Amino acid sequence: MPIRRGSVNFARFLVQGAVPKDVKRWLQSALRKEAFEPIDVKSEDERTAGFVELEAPERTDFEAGALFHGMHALFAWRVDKLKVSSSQVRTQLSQWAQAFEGKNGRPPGRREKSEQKDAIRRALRGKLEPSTKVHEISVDLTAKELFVWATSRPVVEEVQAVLEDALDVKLLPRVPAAFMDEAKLDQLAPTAALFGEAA
Amino acid sequence: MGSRKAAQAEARFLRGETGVDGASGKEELDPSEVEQAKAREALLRGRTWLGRECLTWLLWKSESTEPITRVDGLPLSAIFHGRLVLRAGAGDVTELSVKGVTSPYSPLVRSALNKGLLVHGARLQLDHGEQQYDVGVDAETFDVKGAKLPALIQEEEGERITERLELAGRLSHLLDALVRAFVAERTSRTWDSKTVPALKEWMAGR
Repeated sequence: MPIRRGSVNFARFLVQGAVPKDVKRWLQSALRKEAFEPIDVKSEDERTAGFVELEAPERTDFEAGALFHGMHALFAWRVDKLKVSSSQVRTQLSQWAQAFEGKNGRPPGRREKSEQKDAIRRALRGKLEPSTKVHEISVDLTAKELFVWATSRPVVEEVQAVLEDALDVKLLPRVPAAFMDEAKLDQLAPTAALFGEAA
Repeated sequence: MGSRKAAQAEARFLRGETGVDGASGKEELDPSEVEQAKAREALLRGRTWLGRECLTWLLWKSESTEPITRVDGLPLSAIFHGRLVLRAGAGDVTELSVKGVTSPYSPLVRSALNKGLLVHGARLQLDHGEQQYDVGVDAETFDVKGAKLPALIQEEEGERITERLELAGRLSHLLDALVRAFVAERTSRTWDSKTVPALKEWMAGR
């Protein structure tokens, strides 16, 4: 858990927009709306993602005691993946095709092969355990700063988009452009003397 | 030609993949042009150019080891160390990476900066009062990467988390303060008339 120990990696955002007085309800309802739901093994879904409690990544209650730590709100973004290996499907299908030919004296038809492929995929999927990754998120409620403790940019951008929608705020990345007003920023261009021919 | 091969050739022609002579109909892209386009896109994406200007300005300002700014009444200084990545939006060399404790301040780096390769990624040691932070940053996101925080004082687990969160928040504020110092200078009237000429002189080793 990077919030607790180890090397520190996080993407930084400023929460821009009105934060309601009832922060607890505001956060709880947003997190519950986008709460993690496990992958349905019977479905074709290969990935699922949503918010979980920081201390218990299988829980999505977000009771105040689990959500708040002093002036910080702490929760996590859980991503589960369940992907059947295509090489495993190919191997099993080839073994089945050989057995089929031995038994019936002819190779299986396209339709038979396709049906068997689906059956193998379903069987393998039923035996698989999803791989789980949990990315921590902290919100400083006084400074209105939000950190996504992850190094993967696609994950950071996914969390940013989901939270912006669920909380109805804008999450402003802490890059130099964020420290300028829009009017000034629009007038700026790369400094030609520094960039040379790229400017 | 066997019927199967003939059918495949016909299908490729119908898909527009080949011409009447069987040769590829696709226009071959010049790898150099592709690379240049990628470098330019990376420079403009999310105004990365402003981040590169910021980190390059910071490298120049930090060489004197004087504080860059003050935060909460205490001086804040930055020292670049270790790996430094320079990137250009055009030209023959689009990326240059140097390694070595004092390499960021080497004549080689300054010469590259003078040719239009600006700082894209760096490791910084930030000294604020008695606290020292070590952090990796890049010009596109300014995310905190592989940072080392000052040693924790608290012993109880809950309090240690609070302290660590506070230190992470302080590190973020220090980075913000450095960026604010750059933005103040970048948006001032003296940027083009004084700062840029001074930067270019430093890059040229004069």
